[in-house]
Amino acid sequence: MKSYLKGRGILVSLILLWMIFFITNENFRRIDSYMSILREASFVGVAAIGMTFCIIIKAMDLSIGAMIGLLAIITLSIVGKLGLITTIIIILIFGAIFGLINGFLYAKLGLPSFIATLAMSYIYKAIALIYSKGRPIQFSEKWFTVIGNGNFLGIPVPFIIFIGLTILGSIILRKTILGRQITATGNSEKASYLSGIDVSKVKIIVFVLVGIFTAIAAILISSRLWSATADMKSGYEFDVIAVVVLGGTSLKGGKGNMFDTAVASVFFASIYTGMNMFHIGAYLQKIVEGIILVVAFSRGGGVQIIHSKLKENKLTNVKKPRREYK
Amino acid sequence: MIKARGFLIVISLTLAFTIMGCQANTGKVANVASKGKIGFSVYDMQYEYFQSMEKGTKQGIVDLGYDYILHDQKSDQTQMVSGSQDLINQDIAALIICPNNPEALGPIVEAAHAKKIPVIVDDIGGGNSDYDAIVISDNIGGGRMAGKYAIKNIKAGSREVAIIKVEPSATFAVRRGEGFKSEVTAVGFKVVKELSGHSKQEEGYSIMKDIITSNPKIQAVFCENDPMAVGAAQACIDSKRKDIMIIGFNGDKIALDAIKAGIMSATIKQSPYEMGKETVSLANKLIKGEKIKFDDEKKKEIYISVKLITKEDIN
Amino acid sequence: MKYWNLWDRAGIYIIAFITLIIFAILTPNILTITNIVNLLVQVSIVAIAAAGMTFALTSGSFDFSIGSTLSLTTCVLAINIPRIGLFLSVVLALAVGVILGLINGIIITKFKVQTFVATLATMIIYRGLSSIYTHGQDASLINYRQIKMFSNGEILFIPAPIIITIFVYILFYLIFKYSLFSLFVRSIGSNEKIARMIGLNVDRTIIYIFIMTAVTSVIGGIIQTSQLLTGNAKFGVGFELEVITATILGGTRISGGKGNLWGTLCAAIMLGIIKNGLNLLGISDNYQKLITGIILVLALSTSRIMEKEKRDVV
Repeated sequence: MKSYLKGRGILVSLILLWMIFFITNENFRRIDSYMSILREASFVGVAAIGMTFCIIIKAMDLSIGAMIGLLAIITLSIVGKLGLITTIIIILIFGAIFGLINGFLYAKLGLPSFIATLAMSYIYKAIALIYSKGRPIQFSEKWFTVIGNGNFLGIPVPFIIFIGLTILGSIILRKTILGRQITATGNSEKASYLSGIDVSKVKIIVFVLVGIFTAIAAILISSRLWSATADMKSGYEFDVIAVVVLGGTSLKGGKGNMFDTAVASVFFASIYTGMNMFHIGAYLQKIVEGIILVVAFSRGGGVQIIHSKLKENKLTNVKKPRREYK
Repeated sequence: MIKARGFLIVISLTLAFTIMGCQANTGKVANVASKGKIGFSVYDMQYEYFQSMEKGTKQGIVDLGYDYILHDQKSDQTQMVSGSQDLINQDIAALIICPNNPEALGPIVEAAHAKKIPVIVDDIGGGNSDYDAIVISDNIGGGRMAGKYAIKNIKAGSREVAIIKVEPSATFAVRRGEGFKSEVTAVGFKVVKELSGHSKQEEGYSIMKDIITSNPKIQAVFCENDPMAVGAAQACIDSKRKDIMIIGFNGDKIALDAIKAGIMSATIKQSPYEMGKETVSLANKLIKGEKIKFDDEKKKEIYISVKLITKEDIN
Repeated sequence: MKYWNLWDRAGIYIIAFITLIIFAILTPNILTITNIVNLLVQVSIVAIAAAGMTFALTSGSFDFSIGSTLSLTTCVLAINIPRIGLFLSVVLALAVGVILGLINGIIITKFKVQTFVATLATMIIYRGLSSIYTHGQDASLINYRQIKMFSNGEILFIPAPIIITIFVYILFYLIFKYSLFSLFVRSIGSNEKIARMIGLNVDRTIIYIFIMTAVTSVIGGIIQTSQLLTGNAKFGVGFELEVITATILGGTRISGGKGNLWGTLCAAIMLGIIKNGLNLLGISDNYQKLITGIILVLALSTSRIMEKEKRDVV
């Protein structure tokens, strides 16, 4: 038990935080408040599962905010006419395609993931704006909104889905060959390449995973809010990345743990709900956000990580030798 | 070894909470038996319009003896939903909400009604949700007023006008331009440009400059909110075109200053403070189980009228 | 074989020229003197900040806080001009900018936080400061119009913002080409570890870079306050993205320690042409974002493909 708690800093922090909430604030003595936290944590958590894969290979996807806006709009536009299953399939396919594009720019063209996804976010957002003409899209049928808003045996439905996906993500990471390849690539691209791993393919698959998990998050969010606009999740990528890093996945790559990410999502949601329950003013909330970002990311160590990532990128974009020297 | 960093986060945040908790946004009244809490969730406290609304709402709540809890959505619809849920979880007696995205009111109203909490919407829109009452400014009527003003005061000329719109997601506010348009086109004016300034002052400025270039015979411009109108007025001055009539909407202080200084012609003044108080009185009635007399029974709407303000009205 | 070199340096000019021709055909208004002057004035704020960002990007850093710095500048000016007059307020604003840049630099070098996270955090914090400083209100300068000289003043019929932009670019170009500082910046951009190893004072250079980006956005803020006669915490949202886009489109690459100052200016102007052209045509600016995004992706991709060609040849 003790060895399990070792290195589970974020879990302990969460338990401590909840205990402090319980003791100091009457609003946290009702089960509703905690269920609320779990519900809110699910959305950022599902997206964070995909992003964990991404951070492990030392990349970042800054387009997920725009992706969610676009996918949520599409979801709400078509789910009434095509039904739930078809819609889910279509949205997941879209998410995969977006991921494919991002991954291609990153792996095949060697653009820094940061820049490539930032540029693509412009395009996704613009498409969303043009498609929706800037107006919100709404869909309020019960059978759809229950996904984001409903409870099953008292536990919020999105949270149950979230746990399921976390387990799935963890299995992919730890028990599949792909997962091994992802971790290896994150540890050292050069070594992975030399030991026969198709590093380019792994990178693209990672971004496809990000796309798929983001798509699921988009469906959940659109169900929760009954409506969507193009810029509804502007800047969300930073929240998601912060959650992944808070959970202990290092920006230096190679290490990652889905359950820690999940716990960090709950922690993150707890902070926000906590600030509301303690009636902390909006400006102060913003400043707390800023501080969390700094604290979460300051485990970088000496070098500017992005900078060194770029270095690795350049050095390993080596094409296979065309001629063999005889 | 438990990660020290995680610990550090928790400790510092808790300290922060406890300290800041003392600066709570609640307005507690000295009554021994408090009548309960009323929660107010507002679009974005960075804007003067909503600041006035908040003052009115708070005053109304405190006057009636309830406890007051404020939530700022910061123009984010997710914050709107989760923050309202947090208010609901604090066992409020009623929820007053000024939504930044009315279409996302659905889950909030549902959650509130599940706990028998009445929901009163203040301005912006109801988003087809099942609210208990909505107080709205007459946006279309206000736009028409602006149109009538333009028709009455415009000098002989090209009769070309333009509209600078707020962001399209403000589905009720964009009706202001439609009201203006219907009035002026009926008498033969031409709306040569209709562009979105996304409610931003900077964009009002730059769009106005481009309109002056593309349509130099322009005579009047209606801006769907005051910040954009003031920006547009500045653009006219910087382009040395004092002849263009600029009409705004809201009644913000910067617009009143601009009208007084003569660089802007008129604005349509809303009454956010009064609207705030009205929502509280409605909330009180609903809490007590009384019936409300609506201006529109079917849509449960209460209208608050708007006023045209020109230089003569400002002393 | 030499194409990549040409592209990297000349590519942006070609794209900009093509864009101009397209819009000129669609709306001849765009080529009138009034419009060109108007366009250049509109572009000035982004262009000036982009000059500073060019240095930052050349060294491999980003500054996301410039939008908030701009907002804070407008607040400082709007609140203080009535109290202490124009000159002192401008000096105060510049001083505040230096401090903000200093803070950025210190967080990055001493607390070892990555640039984009650090400036993301300061972006939030500086904007919070603006809100607190103005108590969330708009501060109006309508009765204190001395500041108008920064937007309306003219020298030989050229408006002040354009003159300031030209001045900044010439100054920065001289710094870029001839100064030791610029050499340090480029070395850090090429390879930071080696730069440290050969004894360059990397930390101090980085601090100077962030002071540079802050001061350029203060200058932008002065011009904007002059145009709008208002100060509030809502200005400059999304500003950093525009500036970084212009810098990257201009040919400055984050990974190479190469910077292209004139390219940045050209890119800023081109982005302005797109916005201006679409406004003149009455087209929604959603298409502007789409076009900008596509051009950005195409420009980045082509440049990368060229680079790979180059490596293959070698």
